[in-house]
Amino acid sequence: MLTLFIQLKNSIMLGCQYSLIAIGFTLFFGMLNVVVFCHGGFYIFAAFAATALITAFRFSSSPFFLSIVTLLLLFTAMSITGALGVLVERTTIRPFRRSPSVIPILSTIGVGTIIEQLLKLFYPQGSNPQVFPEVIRYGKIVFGAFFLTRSEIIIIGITGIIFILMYFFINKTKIGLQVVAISQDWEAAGMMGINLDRMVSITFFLGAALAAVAGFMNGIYYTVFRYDMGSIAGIKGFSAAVVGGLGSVFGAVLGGFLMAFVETFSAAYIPGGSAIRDVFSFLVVLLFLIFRPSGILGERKAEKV
Amino acid sequence: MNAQDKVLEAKDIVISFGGLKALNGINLYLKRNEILGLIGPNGSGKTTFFNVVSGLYTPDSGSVIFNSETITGKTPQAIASLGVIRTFQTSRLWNELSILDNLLLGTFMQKKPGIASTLFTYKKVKEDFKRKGEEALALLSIFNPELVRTRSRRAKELALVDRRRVEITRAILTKPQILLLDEPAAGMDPAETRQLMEDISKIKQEKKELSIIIIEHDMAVISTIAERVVVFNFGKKIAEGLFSEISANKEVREAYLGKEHKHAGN
Amino acid sequence: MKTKSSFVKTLGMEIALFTGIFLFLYGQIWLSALVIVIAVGGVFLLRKGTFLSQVSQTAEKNKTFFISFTVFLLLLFPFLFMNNIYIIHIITLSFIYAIAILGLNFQIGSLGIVNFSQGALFGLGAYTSALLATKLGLNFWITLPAGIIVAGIFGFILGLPSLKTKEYHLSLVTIAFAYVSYLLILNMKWTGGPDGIVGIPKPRLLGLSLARPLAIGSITIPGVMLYYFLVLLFLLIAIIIALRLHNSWVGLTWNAIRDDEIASRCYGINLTTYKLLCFIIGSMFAGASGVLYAHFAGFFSTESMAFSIGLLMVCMVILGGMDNIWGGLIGAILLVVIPEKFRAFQDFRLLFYGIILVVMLLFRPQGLFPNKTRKHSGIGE
Repeated sequence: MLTLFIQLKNSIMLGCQYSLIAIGFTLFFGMLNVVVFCHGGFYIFAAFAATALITAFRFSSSPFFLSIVTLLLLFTAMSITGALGVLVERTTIRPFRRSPSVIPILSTIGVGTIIEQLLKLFYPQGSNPQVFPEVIRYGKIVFGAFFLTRSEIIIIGITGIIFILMYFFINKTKIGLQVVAISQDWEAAGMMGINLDRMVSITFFLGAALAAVAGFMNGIYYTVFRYDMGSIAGIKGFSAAVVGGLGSVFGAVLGGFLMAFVETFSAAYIPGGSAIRDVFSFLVVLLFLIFRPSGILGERKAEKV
Repeated sequence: MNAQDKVLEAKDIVISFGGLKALNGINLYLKRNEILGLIGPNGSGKTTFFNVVSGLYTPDSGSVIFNSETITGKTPQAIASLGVIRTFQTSRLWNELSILDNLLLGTFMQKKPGIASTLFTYKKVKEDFKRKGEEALALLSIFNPELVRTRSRRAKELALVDRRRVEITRAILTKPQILLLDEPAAGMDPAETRQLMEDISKIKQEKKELSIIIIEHDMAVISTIAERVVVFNFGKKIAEGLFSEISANKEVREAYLGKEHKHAGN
Repeated sequence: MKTKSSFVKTLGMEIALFTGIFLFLYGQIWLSALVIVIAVGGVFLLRKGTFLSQVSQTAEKNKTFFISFTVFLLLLFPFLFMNNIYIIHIITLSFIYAIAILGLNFQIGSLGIVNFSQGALFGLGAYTSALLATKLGLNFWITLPAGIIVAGIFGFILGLPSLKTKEYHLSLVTIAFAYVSYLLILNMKWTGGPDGIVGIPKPRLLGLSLARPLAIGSITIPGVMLYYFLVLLFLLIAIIIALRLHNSWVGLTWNAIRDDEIASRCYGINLTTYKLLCFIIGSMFAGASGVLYAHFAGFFSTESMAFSIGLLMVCMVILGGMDNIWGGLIGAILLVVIPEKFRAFQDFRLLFYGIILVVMLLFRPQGLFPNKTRKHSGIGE
């Protein structure tokens, strides 16, 4: 029973990460019909950025478990990542707006490779595993044999807050509604006077920032990270978005947790499972792509003859 | 008129898209070696009808019979192989391929892949190409010798008029029994339109086994070339007969009320 | 057109090309860089005038001569590197990849499907042959067709989703397929796991083993060079097959499916047959390539069939030119030879590939050698 709770907790922790990454994919896809393969690159870049900033600028440990300075530095790293997202969009995605959709896939794979390799080659000791600085002082809440650490609670909490904010953003704010409008009909939205380019940039900033948060969570939770973890995380996040339905934010969340559960439980309960748990993820997305590309929640689009 | 004279017959075709009935019980027939005009306001279901006949859509109910054989439910490639060929409003050519390549694919229609023959009897393949290619260019020169001269140009570089000509040539090269032309004269000026209609009449006279349905908005075209006319509105057939009959029909006039159209001798 | 002078020009051009390649391969890094600069500069200068079109027309008219001459030069080429056989090694490697690229170009260039799995199929062919050779001791000439057939079967499996799935979704399927293949083989015990398979034997041909040097009179031909000739033979066969497919009904139909599926269906083309054919044949090329690689290196592991290899192969097609047989070959050769030549910058290899991919897509997506419409000389003249 205890192991069940632990696996459940692991799944939720993993699901938080996957969901945040998946939301980015789904936003980009919904808006531009592109699969942004370098999203994993944003994720891992953020981890590096945060590590660099915090290591450079944090001077003393604070009395609080999470200091204001650290928080500011994390926001800075998040913003830098968001800016990177905008840069990538402007240079390697916007030029291909009218090209066949496979071209941005290729270009973003290229960009993802470039980001990873630049980190590996030009960050000090970049090819080695990095240690994420401790930003949350250790503490835990105990429930009998089961316990939750402070980090875990904060991660789950932050993810929950982000989901709520996303909900309000998409459904209640002007910008959010514009994003939805563009996703549904690009041309009509343009004709309504929506500044398409600006909205795209905002979406990319947002998506990359969310990936950054996922990157921080990964650093906080697993402590060690490496430059090449980006692509795997990206692919998993993408799978989650496909399963949930590309274009649906709720689907991304659903898909993220679903994938996390499948992965965690298959690793725990199927013999030899942990070695091929990635295979499960890929098989799932493979099946969805072939048999239900619209995902669980997505919509189908018919071709006009 | 017995069944033999009807080369194509549509019975009670009904098809809906998301709750909207695009075709609501269509009954019509096409006689052998006849040119049937199909007219009606935009959205009345004309192209949808072509899509059903050519097999791209399967109707919810009803059947299409070609030469006593039911073709509803067959794949588009099977229907094409039987001899029902269509053109598209947007002239679907294979854009990256040259004019000649587009035509060659028209002549080739029923062949199997023949990997073995490709690899081992390549010379025969080349001879095949030469024969079919000459045939294709001969037909194309009737429409426009200039196109023959520039046959290596990619289809995407062609002007609209030439795209249509290539598409119609390609369609005829398949040696069809039924030709479904979807607004072939759209985008052409009166002189080009007249020329196109003459060419179509000529071809129809030469090929006695060919029957044509032509969708058009240009009433001058319909009045000249169509031997019989069917009128669609909101997915239903509202009139049928000679052009003179249907143009006097009150319901037909109402369907077109307010629409600008070229009328012969008005 | 003065035939004699243009003939001389073309001949001179070909000799200059081979000389340049020789200098690039043989010389120090600074010389290699210089050759690249001259080549690029030369292309820019010559593109404006009629020189290049004259040369290609002359080559076309005297096809037999120039093909024979090129083959002759290719046979001669390795002898120039007798005291640096590592270079022969590199060239052979690039030819091996070129075979896989020819197959990949059927999917990417002709059919228009970006397939990231060619590396996986390369590996499947390699593993099949390697396992049969090492575990069952079978002859290369049995394991080679076996590898090709197995790759073809998996190609068929990979092709099945193409019947239902559209465009970029299909590309994503190929990515997933590549990862699944890689991970499954990596984690199976009998495939050797991450250590792969070692001790893959060199082929034996007409009694002599390609593992040992061959002495002819006073010349000793190293084993590497023998393997080079073997690979060259396969490459030439592959080129002939690719050319014939491209210039026949098959190639035309593939292009038609790429350009407009709906029109293709309405003109009697059976999408299923042609799509599957494309995947099967393309995969067989990959399988052959993988087998040749495995027996060349003597060792094969999943590292050589990872997703990055599939991605590299796609880059080769894009760099060289989609739907252009010569472009694909050049792309393969460039992306194998150049990084090997500049080995000092080994660490920057992946970065280099990524940059090339993005730059090509932004500035010259049609590749170095864009696709040209089929000539059909002899029709209508």
